[in-house]
Amino acid sequence: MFRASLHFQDGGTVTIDVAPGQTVVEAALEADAPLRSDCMSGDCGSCIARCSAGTLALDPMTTPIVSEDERDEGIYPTCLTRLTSDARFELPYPLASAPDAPGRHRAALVRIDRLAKNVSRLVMRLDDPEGFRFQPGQYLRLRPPGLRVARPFSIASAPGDLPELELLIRHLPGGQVSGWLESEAAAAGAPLTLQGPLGGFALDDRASRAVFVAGGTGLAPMLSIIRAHAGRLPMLLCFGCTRPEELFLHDELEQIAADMPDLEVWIALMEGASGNVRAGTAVALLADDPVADTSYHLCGPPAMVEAAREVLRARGVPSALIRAERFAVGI
Amino acid sequence: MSTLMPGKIALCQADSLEPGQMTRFEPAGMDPLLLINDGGTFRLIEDDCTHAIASLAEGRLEGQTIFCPLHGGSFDIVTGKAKSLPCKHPLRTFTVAVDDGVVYLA
Repeated sequence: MFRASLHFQDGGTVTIDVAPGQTVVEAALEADAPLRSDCMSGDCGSCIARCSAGTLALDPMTTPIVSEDERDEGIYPTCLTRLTSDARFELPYPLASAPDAPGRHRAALVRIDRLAKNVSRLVMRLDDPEGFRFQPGQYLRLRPPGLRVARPFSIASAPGDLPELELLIRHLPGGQVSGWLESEAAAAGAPLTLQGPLGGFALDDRASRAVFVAGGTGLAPMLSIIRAHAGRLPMLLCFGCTRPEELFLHDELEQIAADMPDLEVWIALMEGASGNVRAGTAVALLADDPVADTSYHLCGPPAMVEAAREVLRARGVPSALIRAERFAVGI
Repeated sequence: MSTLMPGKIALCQADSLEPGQMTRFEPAGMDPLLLINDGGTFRLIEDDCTHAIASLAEGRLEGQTIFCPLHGGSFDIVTGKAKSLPCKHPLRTFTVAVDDGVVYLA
């Protein structure tokens, strides 16, 4: 039997026994330890942790949820990780004020706002918010009525908005949730089934400043974090979309920035930028920003996340200060 | 012509489901259900995996174990008990009655 010590972002520590051949997540589930996990197949990124001591064996990954560079730095999906010695893991979220364990919940649709050509905001009201205490940055799985599939979406609202929850959903041609969104069935009061809260994406408040790089509906977890934690530390949101007709929440973001003196919002469009919207990508906006004592939070298409990571590394930002929501958000 | 049992929800004709086969029902106002012909005995369980609300009807049945199509967790179709991770919470099970060749949710 090996021992895995789990060290949380706020200094909290939990130690679990891990049997030979068992994955770290299996051991944590068995011990009801607060190591977050979801898919247990290396696809979602919820259980990613940094191993800072010990030796491990990693199962083959079907999706490259962590890059080779990250593996070299000890970053592993712990659902695919088995121990060959005692080990120490650093987790990117706090132990205190832990979210509720994921469970099944019901909600009623309040409204759907078409925010842009390809993005809608879904607002729903939980039938019973008990048991759905979440941390900003987490996601849920949503199943609209009549569908057999449930899809993951990051929560865009703050915990203080409960029992209402807000999601940003990208319309995908042929997508089942998109099809429902555009149908008459998506009317106020429609019963929704959801599972959550899920995921380990959270604010890194250990640096003196936080930067968020968001592409498209990757804005959702950043909005939740900004809404919940504004004022705790200076923040910069770099938000990018492709074309003017795909830009959403522009006015709302400007209003949030005006209301929060410690928050700056920079917006970029790859095509058709004008006024205070800059030309280029959300990642390119980083070129104008100093890097000292800053934590970075990335969420968007995988290519954007990878590009941001490369830019930050080239500027000397240690990987421990860069975190990403890896799930394909909002599809 | 048989008379349906009053007050009970008729699911299907018993001979329409071969042993080893399963089929999904969505009775009005209820969560989806999965009816399984377990070697001649009908088992009725909730269709939503308790882990990530995937439809077990699209999963794989091996003997008395059903495997979720999404993450591969499994349940005992007789007791509803979770048999392998990531499933931890049991499925609800329901009583069925077969009367005059018709399967009912009892």
